[in-house]
Amino acid sequence: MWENLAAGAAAAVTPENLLWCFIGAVLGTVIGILPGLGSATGVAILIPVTLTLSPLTALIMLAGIYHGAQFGSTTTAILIATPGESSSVVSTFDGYQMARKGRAGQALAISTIGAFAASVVSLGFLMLLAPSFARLALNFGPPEMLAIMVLGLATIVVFSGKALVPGLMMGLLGILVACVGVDVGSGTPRYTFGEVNLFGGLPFVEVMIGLFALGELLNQLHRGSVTPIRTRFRDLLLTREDLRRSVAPTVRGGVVGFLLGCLPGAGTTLASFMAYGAEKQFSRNRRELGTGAIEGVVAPDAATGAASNANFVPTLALGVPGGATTAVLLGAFLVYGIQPGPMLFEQQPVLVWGLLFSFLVGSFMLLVLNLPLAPVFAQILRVRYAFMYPLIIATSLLGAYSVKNSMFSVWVVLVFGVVGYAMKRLDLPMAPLVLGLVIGPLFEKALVQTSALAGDAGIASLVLTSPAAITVLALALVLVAGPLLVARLRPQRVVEDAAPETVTVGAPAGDDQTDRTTRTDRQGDR
Amino acid sequence: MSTTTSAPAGSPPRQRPPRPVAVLASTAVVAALAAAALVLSAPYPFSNADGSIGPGAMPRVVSGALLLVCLGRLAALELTHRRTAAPAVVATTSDGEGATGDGAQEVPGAHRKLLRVGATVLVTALAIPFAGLLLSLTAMTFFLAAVVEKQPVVRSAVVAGATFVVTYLVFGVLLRVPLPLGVFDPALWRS
Repeated sequence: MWENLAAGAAAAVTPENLLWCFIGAVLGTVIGILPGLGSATGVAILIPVTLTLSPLTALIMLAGIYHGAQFGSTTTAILIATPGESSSVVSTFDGYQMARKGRAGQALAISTIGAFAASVVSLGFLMLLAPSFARLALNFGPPEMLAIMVLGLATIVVFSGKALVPGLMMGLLGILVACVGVDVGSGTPRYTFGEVNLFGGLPFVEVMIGLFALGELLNQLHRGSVTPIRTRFRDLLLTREDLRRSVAPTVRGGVVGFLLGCLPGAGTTLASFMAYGAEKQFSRNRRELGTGAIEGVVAPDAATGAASNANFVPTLALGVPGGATTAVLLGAFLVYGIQPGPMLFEQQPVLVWGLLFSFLVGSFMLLVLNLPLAPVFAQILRVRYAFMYPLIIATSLLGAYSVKNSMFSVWVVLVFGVVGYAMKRLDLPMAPLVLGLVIGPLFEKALVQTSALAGDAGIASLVLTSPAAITVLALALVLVAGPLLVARLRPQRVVEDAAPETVTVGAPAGDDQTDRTTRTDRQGDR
Repeated sequence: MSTTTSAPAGSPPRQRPPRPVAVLASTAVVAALAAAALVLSAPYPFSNADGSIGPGAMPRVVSGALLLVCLGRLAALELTHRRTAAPAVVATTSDGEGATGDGAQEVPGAHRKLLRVGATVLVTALAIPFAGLLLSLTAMTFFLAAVVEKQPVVRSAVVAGATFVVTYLVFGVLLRVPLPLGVFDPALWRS
């Protein structure tokens, strides 16, 4: 492991990779700050730009965007109660309240420090856990891979959350869309209607740009935004009391974030909400939560930082995405011709360890960028959206065109932009669709291989004789049935916990905050 | 069916709430897509000659399942609408990442602006083969800022010009993407 880590570190700290890591971190922070442009959108838009880079450099940059967006999105959550990412929704509860009390700087500072600390510690655990998982999975054949893909599909339920039926619909739709193109088993073209451009399937990058970038942009035009609260450099200074109160929530948030982040499909949002819930349960100052308590800011952000790293455990070791952005990243791996999964640690050690080491480098960069420069980045919020969105459209269309140098890509972006917009307006979850798109072909491939291997005996006979496959299938069952059972057994508690969380992502405020954020604050066009 | 029996005396009869039309329509559209996919998958064999899973298996199973889920949802929505006087509850999204859950918010005049933006983008895409990619996108940027958003013309022109320069440097020079030039392609005039 140490040899691989050293080789990875050497690969990660080349001037070129450091530069792209820095660019990714800066871009990610900016993307996270821009309301609605989350990490998945940022990664989707910028995949085409990375196609000319080496896979490691490209992934380092995309990971920088992913992590940077987590940091940046908290800035908007705190300053305008409009989270750039759904994982930052919780930051609006106390972060925005701190900002309204004139403590925006301290909220930004403690959020950055908490996320950094949890991120660095969780990275250590990621480096220990992921290879062990991969080593376990190294002897996996088609039946076990099929079970893993079932686990991946089971995460559609996890992604769906309370919106189970819409989530299932979108997940199945994603798999169906992924069926377009030449079949992996027999080479039969499906749903191509003689269109040569469709033989390779609907292009993943273009679909992502359409769904996330254009769809979100149109949705943003539908909504307004609130005037940002100003903050200055000197406001970032924390008191000793602030730091003392933040230690325990950071540890709790980090642990909760890492454990939940390791679950396929759990993403960072669940982690941040659960960390907030843990504070409500265990914090000494739990009565202050919701009124601008520092614990309510640092714990969710620590959880998000830890979960964003932990998401790579299932992504790298099993090839099953940890969250929506890692699902897009998983697609990026495939675009670069790399198959994540158990073999990745054996076949591409420099790439994997280089990527993991770049997380550490990126974390330090993000700390340096976000701690003193948060007020500077916050100025981006003052750029008029009237100028911003035409630039986003132009970049999206150019990026899509550059993937294959084809107008077909542009049209795919436009069509899926409308689909993405409709999904946003109808509250249809995006993550299951992405998961279906990514996992669908992998599932079918595993299914075809297993059925060919099993012959007349049938797939079940092969899968159910493998202890590893049974274990993975049991885990899938737990993932699907667990939350449903817990919700049924503890209905009262769920309602209680959910009460302050009715704030909507991208909304200026919700629940108790709705009253405080007056509609006069809103402006359709900054 | 009346919903007035439980209403307090003297109060106006409660009207049946409107169906969540958008939810019904979207579910119906997805159901129609699933049905079409199911029908179109008929020519693909379910299994291959060696007994392995064929090209028709996934499309047929997935589109069938999707159709069932959609029909189930439609039925559930209809039942909810009939049984209760309260507005049919549409499950709010709490997916892992990416959902907005902001269906209720809207900026005044948003629909008109969206139509203008959509039309502009569509015209831009149609103009690309003739005017070239960069020029079309630059013109689109200027039009959206100056006309649709009614920003100062000079500032809009500066933003559009900057868009042209930056995108040319990134995509044309740095990434060496062969950007279509339309009628401005020198090769066209040389021939």
